[in-house]
Amino acid sequence: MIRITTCCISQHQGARLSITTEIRATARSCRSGNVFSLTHKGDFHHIARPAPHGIITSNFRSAQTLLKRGGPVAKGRVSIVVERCKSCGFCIEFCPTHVLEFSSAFNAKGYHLPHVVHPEKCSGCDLCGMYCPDFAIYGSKGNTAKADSTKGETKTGGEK
Amino acid sequence: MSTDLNTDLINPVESFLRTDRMPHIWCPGCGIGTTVNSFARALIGSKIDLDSLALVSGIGCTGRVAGYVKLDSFHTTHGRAIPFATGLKLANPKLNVVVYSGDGDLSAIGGNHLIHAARRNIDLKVICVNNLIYAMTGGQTAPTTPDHATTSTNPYGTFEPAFNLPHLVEAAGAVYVARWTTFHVRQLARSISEAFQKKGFSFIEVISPCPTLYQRRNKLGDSLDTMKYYKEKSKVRNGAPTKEVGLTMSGEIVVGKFVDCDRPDYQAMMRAQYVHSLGEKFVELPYEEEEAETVCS
Amino acid sequence: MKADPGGVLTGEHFIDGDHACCEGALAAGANFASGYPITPSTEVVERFAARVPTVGGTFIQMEDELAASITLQGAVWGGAKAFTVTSGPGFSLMMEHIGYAAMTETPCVFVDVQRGGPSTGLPTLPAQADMMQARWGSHGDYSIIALCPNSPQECFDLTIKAFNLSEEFRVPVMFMMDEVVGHMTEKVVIPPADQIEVVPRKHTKKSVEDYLPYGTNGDMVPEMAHAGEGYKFHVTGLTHDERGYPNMTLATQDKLVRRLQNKIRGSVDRIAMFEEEHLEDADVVVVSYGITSRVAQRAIDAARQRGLRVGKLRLITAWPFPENKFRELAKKVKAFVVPELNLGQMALEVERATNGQAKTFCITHAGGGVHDPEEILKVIVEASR
Repeated sequence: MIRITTCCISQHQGARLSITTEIRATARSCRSGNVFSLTHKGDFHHIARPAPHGIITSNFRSAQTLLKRGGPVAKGRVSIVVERCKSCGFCIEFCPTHVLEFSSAFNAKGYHLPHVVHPEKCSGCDLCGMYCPDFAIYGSKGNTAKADSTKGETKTGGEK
Repeated sequence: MSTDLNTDLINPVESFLRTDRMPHIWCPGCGIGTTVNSFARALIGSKIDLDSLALVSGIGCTGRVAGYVKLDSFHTTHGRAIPFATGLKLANPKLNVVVYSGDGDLSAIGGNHLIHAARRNIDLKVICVNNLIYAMTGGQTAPTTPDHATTSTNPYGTFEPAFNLPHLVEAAGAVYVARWTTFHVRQLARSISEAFQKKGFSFIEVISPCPTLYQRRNKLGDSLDTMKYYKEKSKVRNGAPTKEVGLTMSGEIVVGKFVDCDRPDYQAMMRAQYVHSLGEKFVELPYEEEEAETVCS
Repeated sequence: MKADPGGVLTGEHFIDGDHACCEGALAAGANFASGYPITPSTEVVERFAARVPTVGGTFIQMEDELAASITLQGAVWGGAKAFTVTSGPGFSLMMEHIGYAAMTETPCVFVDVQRGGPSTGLPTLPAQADMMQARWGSHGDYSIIALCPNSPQECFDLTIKAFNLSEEFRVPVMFMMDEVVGHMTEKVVIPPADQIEVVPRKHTKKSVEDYLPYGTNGDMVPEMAHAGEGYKFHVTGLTHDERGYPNMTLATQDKLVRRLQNKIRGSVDRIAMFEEEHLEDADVVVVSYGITSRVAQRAIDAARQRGLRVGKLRLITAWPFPENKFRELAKKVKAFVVPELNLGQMALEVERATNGQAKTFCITHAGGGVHDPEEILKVIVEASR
């Protein structure tokens, strides 16, 4: 089983990452955080352009990989607005399938963000979004292959 | 290059927020933002016309909701959201008027207006976020603070009985009374939707953490601990007699829909009375038609 | 624009000031009042409660003056033209919301039928001791307009003026009656609707995207929108910027509060109304307002009969105070005589404006009745020496 992790990285060019089961990220300023996804093997894909609020989303790229390998596929995905999070822990606690954990990444105010540890278990129920008092996380339904049918997603991986 | 991942991933609450004012001022772990999520879901689910929705709030942490929602919103004076909302509704009956305010604002300084609006059955949807304290001003005792709690104005512990808000508003005449906590996000959204279907005075109390003041001063843990307490100790008892739903500091929290009845709202009664007494001489409000520009000539 | 005939009770009437005030409000197009009973003002809303369902509008008696003074503002934001009516103790309760109306620039009228104070005082007897309160009663720096009728006819005419000024300047207007004017019955002529000028609400014509709730395009008075029209604007009593958003910085405070003040003070020449007589050759000018001006008239006439050069300056607009008028006059006259039913309130403004260039004689009265014209004459004579 491939473990997938996602995390948020600072916008500093050439941010270095050590890849372990728990990714340590040194996110100094995520005002327009780049979004990365990583597989355990260390493939490194820059998925999205900087977004104004630095959004991270579940690793759908790796889910695509999983699809290829016939593994379980997430029914939903989670997106996190990095700069709004205040580490209250509601989303982590109340996700019915325990998709989220605190990561060691943190935003500009020093709050630790949640990250997706079990993306394949995400059903897109959006309870995380309903609980979040800071409007910093939301879940949406639809797995990667189908959900990404908007123009932004036709390019595989979405690398620049 | 792909466009942002998030073009199709929009948090449903975003379209209701004044995103140019984010991040908001509420503390980490404050439950007010959570109630706004439920409110947004209720608006989506009820398909309310947002152009004819007005939101009125008073002063306090919950009062700040008015400033963060992208609606016709009015941040009024302390305790007076309900009479302001009454004026709005009477002047333009087509408006759906929501009052979104806190326990201190609505039941202390605003208490008189709360009971009279319920008595009159003014068609308002009142969402009362009850964090059991006066939060904005630093944690003073509220009429809802459970007894023996420590607050900044009762540093040796409160000793006054607290209001049982559902009981109070039911006695005053509300036609819809419910209580949830910030743990009950879906039930809260459903209650708010139900309130939108009602004509008359609806009151929804939401018990919410104030981790910075109430919980901290009373050593009740952090916000997450409080949410777990809500989860563990809440008992859903729809239809429970409201006199039995009083709160204590760490005891059972009775939640649910307590009152859901029907009686004519203020405007219906007013109209009926005028028609009865004046017959043809009664002139209906001219606001029934689209006459925005001549309404106050 | 012309008044809507629906609210205009054209004809000759024999009614008291309170009733005339109500008719003035209706003629001006007022279609909402929220009130609370207090002597000697109650008749205004009692009449409104009887009249408005036959004209089209709403009256609601609220549970207290705190509610009454804000309910009318909710109605204004919902599209109505609204007012409330009270006397001293209620006026005090309404102060927070008068400040709110000034801060949010809500056009509305507050009628104060003044009675003896302080506190419960003399509920059924006159005074003019709320004049300073009308100007300074709420906290913070803000400006209002205050008008003083001296007859039931003026209670009709000036109420229309009060509404017009409130719409023009987006400001709460204080209509300062007194118990005698309110309860005195005289002939009131109400003209046909097409002879009554009514100022419409300054409603924005901008699109939803372009509209700024407190943007002023340089003319000091922003354009208004109402709830329910799709503008999705925010109104707050907190210090706010042009978007209406709370913005609690020094710069925003300075800009906002000065504009609220200058909006009125800068237009004092346009707003101020008075009745002048014999000012060209006057040695002494009698300054009065409300019922006291009727008493003073007797004294002025008597003085002129004795050959004294006495002029009359009746304040119809008490606030903003017409300082320039007094500054100019002070250069020419010896003294001002200011009879008031209080222990010296507008007299302080006369003193301030004239800045020692002429003497000011206050003729105080603790309230409860009106002056004896002889008292006023005596002081005129003394001032003329």
